[in-house]
Amino acid sequence: MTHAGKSQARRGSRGGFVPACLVVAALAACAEHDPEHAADFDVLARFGEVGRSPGQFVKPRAIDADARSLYVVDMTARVQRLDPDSGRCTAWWQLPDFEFGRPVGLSVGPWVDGSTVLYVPETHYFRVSVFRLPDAMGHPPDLLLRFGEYGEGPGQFIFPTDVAVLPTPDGTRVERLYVAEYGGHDRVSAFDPEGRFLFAFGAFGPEGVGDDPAGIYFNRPQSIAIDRARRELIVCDAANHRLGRFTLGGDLLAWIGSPDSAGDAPGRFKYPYGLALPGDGTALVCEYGNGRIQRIDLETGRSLGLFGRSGRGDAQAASPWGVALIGRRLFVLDSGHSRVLTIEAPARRGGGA
Amino acid sequence: MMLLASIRLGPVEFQTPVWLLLIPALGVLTVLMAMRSLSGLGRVTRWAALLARLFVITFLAGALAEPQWRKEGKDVSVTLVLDMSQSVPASLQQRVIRFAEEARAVNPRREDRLGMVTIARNSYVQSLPRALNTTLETSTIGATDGTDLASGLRLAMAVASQDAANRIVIASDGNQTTGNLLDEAQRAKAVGVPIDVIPLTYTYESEVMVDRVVAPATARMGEVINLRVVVNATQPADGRLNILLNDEAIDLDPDSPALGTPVSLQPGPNVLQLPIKVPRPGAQRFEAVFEPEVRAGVAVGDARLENNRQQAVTFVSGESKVLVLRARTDEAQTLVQALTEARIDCDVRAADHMPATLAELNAFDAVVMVNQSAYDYTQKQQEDLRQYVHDGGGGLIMIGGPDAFGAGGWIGSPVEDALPVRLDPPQKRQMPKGALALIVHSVEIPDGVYYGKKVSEAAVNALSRLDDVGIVEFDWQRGTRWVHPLGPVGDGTATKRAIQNLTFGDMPDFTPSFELALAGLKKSDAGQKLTIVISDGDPSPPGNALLRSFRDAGVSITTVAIGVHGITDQTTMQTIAERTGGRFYNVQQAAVATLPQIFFKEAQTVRRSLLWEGTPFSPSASLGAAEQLRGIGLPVPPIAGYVVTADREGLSLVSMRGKENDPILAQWQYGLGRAIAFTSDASPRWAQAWLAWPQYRAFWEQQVRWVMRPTGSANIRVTTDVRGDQTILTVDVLDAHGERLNFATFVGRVALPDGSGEHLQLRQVGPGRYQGLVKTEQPGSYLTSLRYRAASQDGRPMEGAVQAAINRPFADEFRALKDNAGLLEQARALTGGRLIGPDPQRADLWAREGLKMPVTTTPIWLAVALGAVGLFLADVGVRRVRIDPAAIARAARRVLVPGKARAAQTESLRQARAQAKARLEEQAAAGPDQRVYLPSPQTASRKFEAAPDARPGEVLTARAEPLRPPPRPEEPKSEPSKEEGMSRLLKAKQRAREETEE
Repeated sequence: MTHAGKSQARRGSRGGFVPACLVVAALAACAEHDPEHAADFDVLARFGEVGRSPGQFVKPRAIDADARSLYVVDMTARVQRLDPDSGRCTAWWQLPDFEFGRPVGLSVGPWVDGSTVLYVPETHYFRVSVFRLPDAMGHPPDLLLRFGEYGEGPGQFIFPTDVAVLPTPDGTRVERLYVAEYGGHDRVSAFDPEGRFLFAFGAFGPEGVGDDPAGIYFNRPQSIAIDRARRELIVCDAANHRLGRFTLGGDLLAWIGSPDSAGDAPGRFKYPYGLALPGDGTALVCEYGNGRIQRIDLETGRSLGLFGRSGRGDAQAASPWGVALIGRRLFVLDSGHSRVLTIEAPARRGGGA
Repeated sequence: MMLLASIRLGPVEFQTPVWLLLIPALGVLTVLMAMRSLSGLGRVTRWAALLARLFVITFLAGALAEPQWRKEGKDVSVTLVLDMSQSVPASLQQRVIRFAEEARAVNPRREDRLGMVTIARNSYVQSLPRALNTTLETSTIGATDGTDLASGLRLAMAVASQDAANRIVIASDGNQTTGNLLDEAQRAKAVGVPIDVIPLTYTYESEVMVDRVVAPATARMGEVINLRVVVNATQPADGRLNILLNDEAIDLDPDSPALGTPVSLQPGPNVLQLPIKVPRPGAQRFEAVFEPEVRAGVAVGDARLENNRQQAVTFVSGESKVLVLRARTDEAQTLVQALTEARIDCDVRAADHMPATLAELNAFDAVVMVNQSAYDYTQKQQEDLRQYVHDGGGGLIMIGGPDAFGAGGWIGSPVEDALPVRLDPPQKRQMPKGALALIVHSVEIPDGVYYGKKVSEAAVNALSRLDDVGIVEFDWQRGTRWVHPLGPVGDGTATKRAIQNLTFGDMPDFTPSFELALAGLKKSDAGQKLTIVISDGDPSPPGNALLRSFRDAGVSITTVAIGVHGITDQTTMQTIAERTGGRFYNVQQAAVATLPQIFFKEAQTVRRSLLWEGTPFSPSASLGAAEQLRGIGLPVPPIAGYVVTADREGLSLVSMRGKENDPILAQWQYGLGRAIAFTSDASPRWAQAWLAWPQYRAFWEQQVRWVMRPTGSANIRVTTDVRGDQTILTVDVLDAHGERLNFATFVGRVALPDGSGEHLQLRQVGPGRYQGLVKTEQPGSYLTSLRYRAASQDGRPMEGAVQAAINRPFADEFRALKDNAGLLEQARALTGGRLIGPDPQRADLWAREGLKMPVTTTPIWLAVALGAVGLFLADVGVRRVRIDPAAIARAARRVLVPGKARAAQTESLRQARAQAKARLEEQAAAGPDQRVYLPSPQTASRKFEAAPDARPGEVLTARAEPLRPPPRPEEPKSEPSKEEGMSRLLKAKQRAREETEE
């Protein structure tokens, strides 16, 4: 539980808390969540600032992490490896092609040879590229695989946004890749580790329009991630303001939120852009529109906590795009401030959450 | 006086230290009082109390003395000011950047900061001074054909760190074209910022520069003029000189197949004289271009080619000429025919063939615009037209039609300023209005925000005051919203303020913005509704249903794609426009500057409400007032339509009016020139009856001749002499008899290259000779227009006009052949800076010497005052509270070992209970009338409190005998024990006093 959570628990032990809760619940039932009273992030550390030197960013838009490092890509198309404790840049390189646009996603995952690699959806080049991790300052990246081209056919993309990596059961190698895309032909496509198209699901639109046989509609699926324990694919359907739970075969299990429920009350989303899965049946959702992190129980869809809010303060975020998790630390990519905020991640369920 | 100054004690500084005198004064008093008042206390307590009081006094006095906590900065911030102008070789510029990066890498203090400002014609912050900056990169540097060192220094001081000491390092050649570095250096000195310099030294050993072209300002057609070209060379050089007349090369050597003439230059100035015959009337632009000899692909003897060309303009007098601008031939056919019959030479062109320069436009004595739309003209052309009238003395006639005046998008344009009517009519004459919703999305290109604001302003300028306008954008905190709610434009102030505050947020999807715009437009009562979207096209597209809603509501969406990422973005934007009946524009990054024109065009489609069309009527005319209507018979033929305009305040004269007194024909003098507005048209559409009118030719001939620039009978020659930033204009005037014309009055204007105009004053300096001074600081063409009035020898009044051009074609930036390190040295010496050596390892850019570290102070009087309050309480406590260490230890034990204490307590209670029980049993055994106390059920659950139905002392007998009446509550049952308690307390107090005194 974060510091905010603890203080709520302390307040809860005082006399009169139960009636107060009832009043609050009654008010919440008929009124929206008041963002003015949302709490700031309990920031453990913050690093990064506007600039083009190592350790600086120009509107960073995607973040991911392996066990020891953070990886951030920004509008200069540089991928930086950062020390999560100090924020120091330990390696970086620049994507070879970025004139037409910069990536909006970045994933770290295992490769077929057991090494850890970077999966980069090159959004405005309509393709996905797999690179070795940067290990030096400014050296050109080592390209391992590239697939995709412009189009709406199988294996083609419009704007790929994110890659989810399904590892083999032992977790050491890649078994399958899922790629989300938007741009009027929004869907999620599955590929084998050699970039061969397997299947796709979803169509563009809000719910209830169009002719998708399965009735799955996306509007800018900005992030996707795999819950290995539950064998599920979680999709941030950003412009429909909801999360989607799918089987690994692409069958819809449940929606959490709906296109007409955008808002800032607990359980509602406003442009959920980033996603981190602690593996305890919850999701940590980074909301671009609300400038906060929301913890969601994936089974019930219930909100388990709200962390942070929008603003220009030291402990507030401006248009955050992504979120990454290393152990008990959650790294919020505060894109509008070109920085990363470190907060304490909620404890795993059953661990005192 | 010394006491009035601040005093520093370690990190604490007292602002009004005079209050500290209270400490000795009250201290002595306190000690004296303490000797009496504290004598009753023990020795330790007495001293403790005295010390506490003295501290209270010290803290109170300290708080009154306004204490502040000082924190001294330790970091040094260096801002590199780098000269990116073209006078500095690019290789040197990159070397300076690497130099700074290397110096940064060897600087041991990681907290020191590095930032960079670039200077050229304008200055830009490339990176703010930051500790993390280890590399420096340049992005936008602007035009590089000028150097403003002063503005770069000013910008560097503006971004200086407040919490660190600052140094500014200027890397430049010291050649400045505008501004004064030393003025700004004085300011740097005043704020204690030293300027270190890295002089970028160079010398162009071999360089050829065309210094100037001298041509007579005026000439007669067919005359052979003597063109003089001054070429400077640093070394002997060979090459070829070409002369271009209005961009066409002249064959200077008919015997040679090449066009130019070979020249051999000697070191120093070379004057080349070329006789050239002027073939046609009007403004003739000569350009001299030197081509150096090329050997093995390399120019020999000339390092820079930018300074190899110069221009001059000669005005060649001839017959009067009128430029007629029209879109379709049939619209102006009858008019041109009539003017030609009246022996007025007409040059009929479309807008895109309008003369490209003001000088060429000035070859015409009048311009007639027939049903012309503003969007066919670039901003520069519009500005040229305004200057042509105001400063050039040319005439302008705007003739109506459905694409002219307000309906043609001229509202807010420079041309409107020149017209004798207001194009934005007042409220009562407004026709069904238009509504425009602007949707603005982030444009991820350099200067995207700037152009976004410019196009938005252009769109608003094209609307009239009753039209509705609203702006929607995505605010990162508040989501999609109207940053300017849809409402009447009014004077446009509120709308423009909203435009300036736009953040150009990155909207994830179009749908919410489109829904908001549509909902707003649906509520508007406007007759025409339009949405304009400006975006790079990468938000998630809107659904088809939403686009259908737009179409159903009669709202079209025009999309302007700027800096699109690829074909998808373009397709998205194109589809939106196509499905709603709007238009799609894909603006390439290079052509972003044309955006305002696009918006102009779009916004004016909302402005179709300014036309009046109906049953033909004859305009009411007051012919006597206007001189150009003399001889025209009444009534004038009927018209079937016109563009609604309004009267203009000032000296405009309306001589024909339409419905509700709308102006039909108006005239005025604008600056040196004249302008006429005729809001109906010259074609069968509205003026069918006019075409057959016998006085049609006379009417238009008189209009055109009235606005035409007057031609004088005097013989005038104008010569210009450029001297540095100033040009001397000399006018020699002879009258018709060849006599020098004295005492002439000149009214002159100068049209500057930036579109502004200046008044030009001429004074007589000799017989028939007049001179004036023109500031020519900017590169470009300056056009001077002079009107004169004088009395000739025979007493007849003479008047006329003359033009002359002054050219400064290339910037002073290219004149420099050598660095000006002396200027940098002056700035360095003035501010106490250093000359930075070439070795980055030893450069020590972040040196502390000569720097005054910044100090931040925080007031702490409140904390000190609270400390005094705490000490005061301690003082009272020392005297009033006796501290018993043994009791404290016992209490601590109880707190620290609660279980043990509770067990001991429980044990003692248990023992007491057992004793009491034994005693009761003894009493019960003693006799049947003895009573047994039993607890009631209520008392069992609540300790130390009587049950409601129980009474003190109530008992039950073992034999269940009737209860005895309860004893009276007021019975003082515990009296003996109270007395016992008081006496115990008194004894304890006495004992304590004795112990204290011991």
